[in-house]
Amino acid sequence: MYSESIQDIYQPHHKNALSSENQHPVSSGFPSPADNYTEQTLDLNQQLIRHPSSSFLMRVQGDSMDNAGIHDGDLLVVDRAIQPEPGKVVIAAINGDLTVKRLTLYQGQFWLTPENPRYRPVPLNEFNDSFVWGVVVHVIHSL
Amino acid sequence: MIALVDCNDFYASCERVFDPRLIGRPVGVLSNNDGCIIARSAELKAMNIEMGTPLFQIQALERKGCIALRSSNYALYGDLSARVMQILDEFSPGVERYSIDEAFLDLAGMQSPEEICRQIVHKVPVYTGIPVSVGAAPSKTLAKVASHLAKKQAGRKGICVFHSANDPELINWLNTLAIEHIWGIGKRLGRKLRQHGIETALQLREADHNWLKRHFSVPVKRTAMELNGTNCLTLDDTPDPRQNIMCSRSFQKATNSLTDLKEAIRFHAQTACQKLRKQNGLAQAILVSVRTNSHRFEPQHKEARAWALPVASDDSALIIRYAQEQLEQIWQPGFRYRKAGVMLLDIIPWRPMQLGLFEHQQKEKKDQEHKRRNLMHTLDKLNDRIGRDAIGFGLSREQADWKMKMAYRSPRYTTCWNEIPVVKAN
Repeated sequence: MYSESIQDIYQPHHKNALSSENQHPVSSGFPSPADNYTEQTLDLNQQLIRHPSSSFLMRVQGDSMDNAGIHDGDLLVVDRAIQPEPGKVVIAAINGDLTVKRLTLYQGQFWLTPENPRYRPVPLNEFNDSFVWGVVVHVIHSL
Repeated sequence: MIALVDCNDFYASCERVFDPRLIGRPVGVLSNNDGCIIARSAELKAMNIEMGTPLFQIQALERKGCIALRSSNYALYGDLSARVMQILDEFSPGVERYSIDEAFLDLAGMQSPEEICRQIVHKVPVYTGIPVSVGAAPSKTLAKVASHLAKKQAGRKGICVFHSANDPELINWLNTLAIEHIWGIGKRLGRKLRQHGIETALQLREADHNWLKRHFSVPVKRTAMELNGTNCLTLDDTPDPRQNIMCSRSFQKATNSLTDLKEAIRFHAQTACQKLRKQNGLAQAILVSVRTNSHRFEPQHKEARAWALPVASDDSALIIRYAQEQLEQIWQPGFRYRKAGVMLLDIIPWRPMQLGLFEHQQKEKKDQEHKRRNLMHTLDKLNDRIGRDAIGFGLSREQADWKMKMAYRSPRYTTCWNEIPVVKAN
């Protein structure tokens, strides 16, 4: 469980930070063959997570976002630091449930719109206690 | 200028982040094993349900849906707390964690403290979902006063800044602030000060400081100086946070050795436990933290992790073991650590173990309890003498975990793959 904690995922630099044995400042002579290896570890966090303190992972349940390439069981990277705007896929709370929708603007009204013709858009307003929780920045889909 | 950032109703707010149904509802968080209330949302406070209320007294309200209850979820609280602290680090190079939900920020030399406070009060909830309030003033003790006002007075929108200790509004408030409510004074000292006619914060700060030192103590004199706007408390001599005990210290020399750090953690955990027993308390959870020296130009690492104890406890051996396990999780190779600390969280009054029905059983249990406490006492002495490896006893972790009652626990949304939030696509 520990190795899977978010802290481990989110703080990628720590493990590499002061590995002084790997740093060869202005080396004269032959380059160490090990240098090639130290550079080859790519950290997905660097690619997927821009703001560690505001990023959260969530699991999708359902098929209403199929046409946006978001499927049942997918993993979402959600960043609360990103400003929600029409066109963005967001996590929205509706009547107390966390849902994934596309935020759209139609005739002066914000809508939470599914991406599957079998589902209907929901207005973003106080009558259904809806609000935008965060913006989805990546989908991780297993094949 | 010093700012104190305080998360509003922290545990209840954490529960609300991933469960929007709880927004606006009265929420109570229960101690380990669902014993009693240890944290409340504003709505629950308004219902006059006090801290320490046992579960059975409010279970009916919960069943009727009038209130929501949650078992304490320290994995979640610890993670969100770390995120809040990480954000605060962006605002000042001098951030000192004061408890799981409070931190002091050094704003010395910053252009507009108001603007920084506004940004903090805006950014933290946007990033983490946790609302905060900020009080800023020339000293820690005054920042504490300001933070109280920031939270209590609705018109302030969570911000209260006093540029000077002579701000008329501040003086007005100090004039009404009862002596025992001042940070670090408390009931016992308050009574003694009252005997000398010192009844308010204003009277304390106007008293002769040397007289205070002679008749009371250096800390009382310091508090008076702090109330006058002189910043003279370092984090090591700040009073313990409410319901928490904190023990941390900087190393003489920064170290990366896990052994050194474990030794420090053992020492701090033991000191904290001694304090805990002295005040007849039981801790619910621990928070272990390490940090490098932020004033040096070298790789930085700062981390803290909270963990629930299997039972509310004052048992040094158990707490040391848990603290050292946490340390092993957060320690990273390649950093020179400057400071390590242990905090005991959510302390509740000590209570004897459940007693049996029959008298002879009661006697037996009482004897056991008595023996255990004697043993703890002896253990403290032995550990002091032997040092290093604490004598361990008690339940092993595997045995203990399943015993913990957590009927109302929310998922560990941010620290456990199987429990991350599920979002509906429907």
